[in-house]
Amino acid sequence: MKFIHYLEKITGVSIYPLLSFAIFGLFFLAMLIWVLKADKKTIYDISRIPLD
Amino acid sequence: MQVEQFYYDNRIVKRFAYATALWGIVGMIAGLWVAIQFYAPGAALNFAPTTFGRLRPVHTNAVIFAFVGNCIFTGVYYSLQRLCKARMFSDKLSNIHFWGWQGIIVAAALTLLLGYTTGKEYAELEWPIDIAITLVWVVFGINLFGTIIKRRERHLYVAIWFYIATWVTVAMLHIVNSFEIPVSFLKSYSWYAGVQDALVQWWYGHNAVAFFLTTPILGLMYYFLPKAANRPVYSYRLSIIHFWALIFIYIWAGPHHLLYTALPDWAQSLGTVFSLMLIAPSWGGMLNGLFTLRGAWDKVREDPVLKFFVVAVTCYGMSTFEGPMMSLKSVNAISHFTDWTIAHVHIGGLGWNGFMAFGMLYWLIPRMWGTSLYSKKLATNHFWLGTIGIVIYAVPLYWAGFTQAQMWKTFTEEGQLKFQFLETVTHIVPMYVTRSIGGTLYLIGAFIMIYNLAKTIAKGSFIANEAAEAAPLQKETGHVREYWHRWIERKPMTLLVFSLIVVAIGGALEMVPTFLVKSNVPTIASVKPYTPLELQGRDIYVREGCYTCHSQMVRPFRDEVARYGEYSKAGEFVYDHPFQWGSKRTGPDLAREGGKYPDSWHYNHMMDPRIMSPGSIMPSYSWLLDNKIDTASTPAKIRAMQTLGVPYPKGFDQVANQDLLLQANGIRISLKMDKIETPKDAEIVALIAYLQRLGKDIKASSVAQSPN
Repeated sequence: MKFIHYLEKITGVSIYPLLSFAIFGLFFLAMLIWVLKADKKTIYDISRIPLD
Repeated sequence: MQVEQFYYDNRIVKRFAYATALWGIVGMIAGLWVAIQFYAPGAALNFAPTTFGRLRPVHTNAVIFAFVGNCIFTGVYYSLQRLCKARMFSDKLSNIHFWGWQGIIVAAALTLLLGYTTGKEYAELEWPIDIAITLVWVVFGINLFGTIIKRRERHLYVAIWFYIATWVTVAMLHIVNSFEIPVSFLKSYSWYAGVQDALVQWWYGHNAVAFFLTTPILGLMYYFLPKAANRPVYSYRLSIIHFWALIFIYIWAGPHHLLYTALPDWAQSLGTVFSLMLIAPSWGGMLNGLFTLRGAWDKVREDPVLKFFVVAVTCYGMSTFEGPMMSLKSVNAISHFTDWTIAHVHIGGLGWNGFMAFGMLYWLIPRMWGTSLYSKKLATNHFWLGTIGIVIYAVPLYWAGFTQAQMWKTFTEEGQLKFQFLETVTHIVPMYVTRSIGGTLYLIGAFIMIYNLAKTIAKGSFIANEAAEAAPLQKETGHVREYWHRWIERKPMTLLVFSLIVVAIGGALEMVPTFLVKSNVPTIASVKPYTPLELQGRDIYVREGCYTCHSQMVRPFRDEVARYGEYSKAGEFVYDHPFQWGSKRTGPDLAREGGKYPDSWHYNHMMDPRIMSPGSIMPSYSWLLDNKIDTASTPAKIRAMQTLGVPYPKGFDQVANQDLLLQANGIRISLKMDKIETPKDAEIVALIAYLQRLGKDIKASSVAQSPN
């Protein structure tokens, strides 16, 4: 019933945090590239949504 | 294209706004009350529900979940409808959310005052209320996503991303931290023990600050600041980077609450590194807010709403710079367990959260009542009272924290500790007086706001349903290849899943290894489970909120080892469901309390602390002398502990009370020898048994090993 027993039962549990860390890294990088390359007009339009 | 007519629901916004004001006042009064108890212990009224240990959780929970919570819902229900150009998904769900949340607040206040608590900071509410929170949160989620799905605006403005991240992360934090095993209707034990419980708790505690007090308020900032300044946010690109960086980095920073504790060192370092990294997104967000006002600072001079927002965002910047600094181990060695932390959180609470709430209410109420603010002058007076109040609140506490830490660490030339613990407390009492004056000014400001808003409401007429029109969303027929991020931001569910992945990573990476790697918690053979009497005593300790003033964690510093004894080891806490390390030392550490004083000292000290320690600011706990131990609960408690893996022998639950009474009788006899008559089933006996046990196991092992 101890909590850690459930985690221990997952085979190769240590790969998941590493995998998710890599996913995040790539996601963040892609996001950064998108933000820097994004169309000026789109960005301007979205930023005005609260004021419409 | 056919333009659709629809109405924004202002009634639900009004309800949440009223609740914000009401609970704000309640939370602040509770805060002032506990602040006064620091220099006038009599203000505890010698009455269990109004002692510091029970009232302080009422203050923190009321301010966080009632005041700021309702402020978030006010802002979300107002801005979400406008940003989505749609009425809320369901009026019925809005109302269930509203009344459900208020019911939870009332239940929380009552149970906390009556001493029903899990003993985990900012997550003190017992299991039935935890379940109610989960249900109401789901209702809020359905309403939130329902509205987003039926929106008439293609893009999800960045404020909505912050709302989504808030919803999903708070859900995750709440569920993971609230795993507990019920013993009775209003009593449970944390599923985790000791070091693991501490890590989960501070992962939760820190991220409650991040995802309840920060991200939703940033969402409000991204909506209401441009609104009030009537100009778009300084850099929308920056807001996107701000969002993803903030939610990812924040989730890791929790262990900075546990520096120098028995938490494995690698986890502490991880917390420090990510805390330092947090400066970047936090300041990105702050600058984005302040730069929105570039070229419009003349408006700030005129408009009290902008005044509140500017100070709020500035306080956000200050506390998010200070936070990472306090996560440096060398600074933390001084700041932790002192009033420095209290000053730090109040820059955030009073400055950032409070002023964002006030600014938003001053902006919203006139608009929803179709009128102008009753008095700009009063609002400006409120602003100045509040601002001066924050300064008078925080500066003395910084001083107190720094002074006390220095006094704790001062040695005489002979190598002895220079100050008794009590001297370090009485020395800073004047700071506590000043702090409560600052708090009073802030509270008076809030009353002025309520008067001003009531007058505004009286002169306007409420627009329950605000007419609006917009074209429905067309299916996009563009042939141009879209960028993938636009694809995400148009799809709220995808955004939800991505934010969940991002925040789950931090939690998993910190927790999984702590739970799995056995070397993280080296076992100590002499550490044994609590006896039934000690367990009952521990529950009394938790009930009275002793952890709000006393830590149970001796850090490996020369002064702490000299003052309290051997520093704390991870293996000592394996049976502590929940852990009771504490976060503030208004009183001395108790990790090695066992055996320091005779039983009679504790008896007299609980009856009136000032008999044994003249000048002490601890409340009296005279009711413990009369209350009877709830022995009927012993078997269920033992069984719950067995379920959690505490190695009591099989069938021990049936004989536990015999063991309890036997040990209690021993304490009764020891008290009698000091001329104190007490029944053996008085609560004080159980509490003495627990206090006398604290930290003793490890001493037994050193005695056992000494012949070698």
